[in-house]
Amino acid sequence: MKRFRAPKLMVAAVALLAVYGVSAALGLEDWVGVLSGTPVPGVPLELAALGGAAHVLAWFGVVLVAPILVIASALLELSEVMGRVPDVGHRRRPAQ
Amino acid sequence: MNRLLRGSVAVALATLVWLPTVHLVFEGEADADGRARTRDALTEAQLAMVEDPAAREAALARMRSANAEWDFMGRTFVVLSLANRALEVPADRDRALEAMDFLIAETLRLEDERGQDHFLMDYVHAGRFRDPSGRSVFVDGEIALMLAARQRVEPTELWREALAERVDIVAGQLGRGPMRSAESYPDECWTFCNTVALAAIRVSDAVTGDDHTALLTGWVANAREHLVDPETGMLVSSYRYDGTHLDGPEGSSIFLAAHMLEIVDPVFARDQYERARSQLGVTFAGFGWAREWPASWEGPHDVDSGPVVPLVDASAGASGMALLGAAAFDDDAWLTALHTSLAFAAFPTEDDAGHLRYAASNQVGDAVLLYSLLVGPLWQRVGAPPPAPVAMGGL
Repeated sequence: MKRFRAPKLMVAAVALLAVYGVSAALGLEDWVGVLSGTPVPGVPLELAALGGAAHVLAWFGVVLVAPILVIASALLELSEVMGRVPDVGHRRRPAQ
Repeated sequence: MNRLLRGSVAVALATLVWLPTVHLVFEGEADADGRARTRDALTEAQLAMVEDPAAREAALARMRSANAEWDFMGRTFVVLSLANRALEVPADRDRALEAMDFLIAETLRLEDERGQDHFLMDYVHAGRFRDPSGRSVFVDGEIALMLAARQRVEPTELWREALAERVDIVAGQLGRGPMRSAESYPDECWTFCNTVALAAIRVSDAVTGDDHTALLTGWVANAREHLVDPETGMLVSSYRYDGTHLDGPEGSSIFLAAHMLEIVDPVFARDQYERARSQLGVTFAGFGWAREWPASWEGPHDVDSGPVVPLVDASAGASGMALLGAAAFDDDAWLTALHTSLAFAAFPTEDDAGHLRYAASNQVGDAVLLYSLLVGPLWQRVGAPPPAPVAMGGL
C-alpha cells in the first residue's frame, strides 16, 4: 500500500495557519494597536511593536499566502492527474 | 518540466487567481449592509463606553499615554456622531443627548480644573501664543463645535451661554489673525483646527441666527491666496501665525478639512476633496487606503500620520480620515474599498463586554470611524451657507 504524503505546499499552508493560531492564543491581536501609535498597557513600546508586527504578518500569511499555497497545491495535483491521462490512453487495446 | 519549475508556475498562477479576488472575502462587511451593521454596533459600543466609567477610563488612559489630544478629539467625534444619530433615529435621541451632555460637561470641567493644557501636547509650553488671548483654537474650536452640534439637535438653556461665549472667543481669535487664522499651539496654526472652528461658527449661526458670513468667507479667500500648496492645490496642514507654511498637505488633515468646509464653502470643499482623493487616495485589487503625503512632499512620521506601512505608503491616520471624506462626499466606490481594507487590516474584535472595537485602532480612531458612518444629517440641517456677496464694482 502506498504511503500518503501531504503535498509540501499544503503543509506550508497549514503551518501558516498554526502560526496565526499561536499568535492569537498568545493574545498578540491586542498588540496591533501599535499600528495606530497606541501603546499596549504594561508592555514596552519596542516589544509591543514586535509582537504587533508579528501578529499582522501571521494574519497576512493566513489570508494572503496560505490560500495561494492551497490553490497552487491543487493546480499541481491537477497537472499530475492530467499528466497521467496519455499513459492510460497508451494502454488501450487497438480497436478490432 | 522539473518539479521546482512546475511548483513556481503553480504558485504564480495561484497568486494571479487569489490576489484579485481576496477582497471578496471582506466585502460583505464593506457594502452598504455591512457598513450599517458596523454603524449600529459601533454606536452601541461608543455609547456603552460613555456610560461605563471604568471602560472609559482604561481607553482614555491608554490613549493619553501616547497623545493627550486623542482624549479630546475622541470626545468631539463621539458628540458629532451622536448628534447625527439623534437627528436620524428619533428612538435614540434621548440616550444620545444624555451622552452628549455628559461628554460636554466633563470636557468643560476638565478644561476649567486643569486648563487647556490638559488636552494639548507638552510642546504647548515651548513658546508663547502670538494672539493676546493665549488660547488654543484646537480646544476652543472643538468645544464650540460640540456645543453647537448639541444645540442644533435640541436647543437647551444649559449650553446657550457657553456656546455664545466660545463662539465669541473663536471668532475673536480668527478675526485678529493676519491669516484670519488662530493658533493651536504657540505660533502654529493648523488647517484641521481652523476649519473645525469655521464649521463650529457656521453650526452656531444656524442655531442662534447670528451671521458670521464675512468672517467665514474672509478665511476661505485668504486661504485660497496664502494657505494652498502651489504643487498640489491642497491646503497645507500647518503654518505660522504670519502664514509661513510649515507642514505641506497631509491626509490626516485634508479629508477632515474638506468635510468641515462643506458648510462654509461647498465648492472649495469639493475641490479640496477631489484633489486629496486623486493625489492621496489609492485603490488596489478592491482595497483602498490613503497616503499621508502627496508625491511632491514628504513630512515626518508623527502622531498624526501614525506609522506608515512601507511599500504601499498606507497611513492609519490618513486612511481613517479618508473614510470620513469618502462618506461626506458620497464617493461610494472608494468608501467600499476603504471599508474592505478596514475589515481586512484593522482587526475588528470585541471588548470584554462584547462591544465592537478595532484592535489596530483606539477610542479616537473608532470614534472617527463612527462619525464617518453617521455623517450627514447634522450638516444637512445646517444647510448651505448664504451666497457670497457679489462684487458690485462699477455700480
